[in-house]
Amino acid sequence: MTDDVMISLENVSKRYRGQKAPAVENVSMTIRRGEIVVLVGPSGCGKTTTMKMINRLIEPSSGRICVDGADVTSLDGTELRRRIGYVIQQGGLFPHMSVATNVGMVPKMLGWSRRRIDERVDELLHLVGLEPGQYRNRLPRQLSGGQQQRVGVARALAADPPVMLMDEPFGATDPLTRDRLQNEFLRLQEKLQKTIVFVTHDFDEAIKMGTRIAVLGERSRIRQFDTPERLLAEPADKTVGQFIGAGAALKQLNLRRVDAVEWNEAELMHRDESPTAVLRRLDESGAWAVLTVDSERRPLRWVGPRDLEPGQTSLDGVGIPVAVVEPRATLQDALDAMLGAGCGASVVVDDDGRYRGVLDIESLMRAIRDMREVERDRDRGMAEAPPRLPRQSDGSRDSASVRTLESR
Amino acid sequence: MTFLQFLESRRDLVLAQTLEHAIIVLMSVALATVVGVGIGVATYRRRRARAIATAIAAAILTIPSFALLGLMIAPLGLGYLPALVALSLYALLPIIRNTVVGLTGIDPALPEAARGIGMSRLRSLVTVELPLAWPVILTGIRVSTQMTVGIAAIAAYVGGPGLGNQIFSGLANLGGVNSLNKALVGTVGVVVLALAIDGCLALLGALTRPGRRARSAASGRRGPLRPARTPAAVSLTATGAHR
Amino acid sequence: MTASTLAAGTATPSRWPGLLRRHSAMPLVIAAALLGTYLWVRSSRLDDIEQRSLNATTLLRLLRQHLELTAVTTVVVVVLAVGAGILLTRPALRWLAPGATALANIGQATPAIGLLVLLSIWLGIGFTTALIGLIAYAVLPVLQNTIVGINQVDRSLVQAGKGIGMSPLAVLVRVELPLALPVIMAGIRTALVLAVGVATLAAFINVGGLGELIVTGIKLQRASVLVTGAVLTAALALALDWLGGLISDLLRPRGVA
Repeated sequence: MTDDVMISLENVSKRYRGQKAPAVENVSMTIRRGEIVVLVGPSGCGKTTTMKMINRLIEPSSGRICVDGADVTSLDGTELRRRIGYVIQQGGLFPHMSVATNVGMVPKMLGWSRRRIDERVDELLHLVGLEPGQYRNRLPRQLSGGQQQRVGVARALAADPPVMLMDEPFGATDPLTRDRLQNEFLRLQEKLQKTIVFVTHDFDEAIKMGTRIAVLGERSRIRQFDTPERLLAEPADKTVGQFIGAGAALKQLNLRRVDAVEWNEAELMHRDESPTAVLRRLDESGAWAVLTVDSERRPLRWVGPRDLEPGQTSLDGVGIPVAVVEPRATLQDALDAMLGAGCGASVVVDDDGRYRGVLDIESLMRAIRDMREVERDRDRGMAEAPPRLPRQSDGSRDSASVRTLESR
Repeated sequence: MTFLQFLESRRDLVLAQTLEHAIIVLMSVALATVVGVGIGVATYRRRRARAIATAIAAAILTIPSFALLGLMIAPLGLGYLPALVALSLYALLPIIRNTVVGLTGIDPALPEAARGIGMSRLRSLVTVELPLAWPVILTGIRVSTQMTVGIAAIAAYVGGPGLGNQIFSGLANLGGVNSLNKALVGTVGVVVLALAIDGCLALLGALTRPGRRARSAASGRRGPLRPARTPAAVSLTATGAHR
Repeated sequence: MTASTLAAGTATPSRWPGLLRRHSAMPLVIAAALLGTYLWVRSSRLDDIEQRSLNATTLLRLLRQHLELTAVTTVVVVVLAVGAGILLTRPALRWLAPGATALANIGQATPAIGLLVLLSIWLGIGFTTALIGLIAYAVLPVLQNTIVGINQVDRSLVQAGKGIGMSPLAVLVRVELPLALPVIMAGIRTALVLAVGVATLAAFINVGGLGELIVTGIKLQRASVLVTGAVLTAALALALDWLGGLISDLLRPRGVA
């Protein structure tokens, strides 16, 4: 065991009275400081039970769990949980308390002063992107699902716990919101460096969020515990392969972020320039289009030679709207944006929406080719390649989980 | 005289009173069902109308039974009639409310579909909506029945029929030889009758549940909606009615 | 985030206008009924018997007796039943709850008058007997609504409370009870109304109360006494229920529909 181990589970089991098979059987794993470990598996596999034993919402029947070097069973459960952040689906906000009361709950229990709590609440609301003046006194039902989820994260962070447990935190939101929440959370985590145990049944989410992923089978048996890259490249067995599902290469687009590939530069022109100037610039540079920007350098539209009619005097409304992505977005997001805009390039923008560069379809193709090669090497190297497609005739649980993954 | 000996000696009387008790309860509930479902059907599409209907029914239910019986005697005199009217009035609220809840709880696509295939409003109501709302309405009827069985015991004081007469006769000669036996036979009789009628209504529910035949026999054993002596009934006078 | 900006959110609007609208009709109805009865009794010539019942001293005494019975019952019942309901929803005792509920169901099928008469035979007639009968009768809805009210609180909220480190007592006081309050209050209102109703029957075991007017009216065939008793009892029940509704609306936690 090294110094940077934050959480360790040793031969942990959970048996419920009156049930023959244990819900969790003999699970051991170590989780390092600052990493996000995702527990992923089909519903009913015991992943939530495993997680809840860490903060003793569920008492383990046997085995040992240590958090930050201390055996959790030696601590008072309530005290323990005040030092571990806990986020559940839809935030689990108390509907009869304001946003501020919800977020300030743990500090209050820890006996902080009124003023310190107020300051902390405002700081946290800022952190999760909610303007305190506007949201402090709202009730949970006056918030959208995504906002509730943000408040849930803020509440878990209130006492600055080193460890956070997250139980399908973004599960109840629509795909778009979920994506945004995931990105926001990753950005937050870069700053905070918490140790996080994250439970989900969504493999794509696991790949996106996880520093390491534990694929769990029945009774929480660990089938594979690895980085997302290695999991996609080398599934340990057939079941894991099936769980990953089809299109492993495409899924790898989720692993690579926009800032990890090369960007190109576009020909920028201010929106107030004349069409003649645009034509001249296109001629000089040989580019297929210029990118119009406003005075803040925020990208507006692609304007090509064919978008301009003779005698046109202004660039207003000319050309096709741009698709934008942030550097932290995945290549998958970038591809989605391109497909959505019907344009072979996405403009990379910073937090304020200002132009940073252009990611075009060629760079994306290059990235996919690289990953393909890695995969092909692996296939050649292995005697028996895992099946690429799930076989429907196999155990219903596995095919069901694959279906849910694909139908997302 | 032990309780059983007493029961043996008065068997015919007790049986007759039990029957009378059952009859007046069933008559009141039947009356309340006709009126209550009618009011429910007439008001469930209009927010204001159904609020007024349930508010009035709730107010009636709030009036102590003995007081309501007293108010009935003034115009109707002593006897069977005031008891019947008072019991029917009491039984109204759960039936009206459950009719409204049952009818408004139906997936709106269904009556629309009925209209879509050319059913008239009335026909859609009778063949689609009411059958679907029936389990909920029946739950209301069961709640009403339970209440009415107990209140009917008091009606004996104003000349009503039934087991209440045993109780009041026991009360009349407190300390007398058979006062305990009389009070006991009246009270226990009412409880037994309440449970028996409720059982019959539960059975009726199982037999008349919509789509019953389409399901397996196994699901029949589970019975219909729980008799709503759970919160719906408990909060009878208190919750929904006063909004 | 601007898109979801709801009605400026910061201050919750005063709840008074809505409350007044919802709760204004009943006092008027009660006042009208009382006034109508008063005018009717005033206008008719009362004989000796009627005068013995229908005078301020007697009426106030009966009203006081009625209120005493109701008030003591309600206080005892709230303490007993809410306490027991809380205990029966704690993990250690939860297994007892179905039994308690079943008992409550049978209890509710018991006729109040039968219960009072049986208690009188057992304990003799008097205030205490009436009180015990009332309590036994009114305890059930509060007990049941407390259990149901606490159990209907979203389990994930209880888990969330525990999860962020609330002690079991804090979860109870800060999460479970506030969220169960509307249902518990509904049970208390029901108990209040039941208590007023059963207290009417206390007249049968010589404890007085407004039921005495009804009994006298029926026995001696005096419609004025009968109707006065019935109207007063009904008005009292409606007024207390109205008050209960008002209080329960005022106590309803924000953010709970």
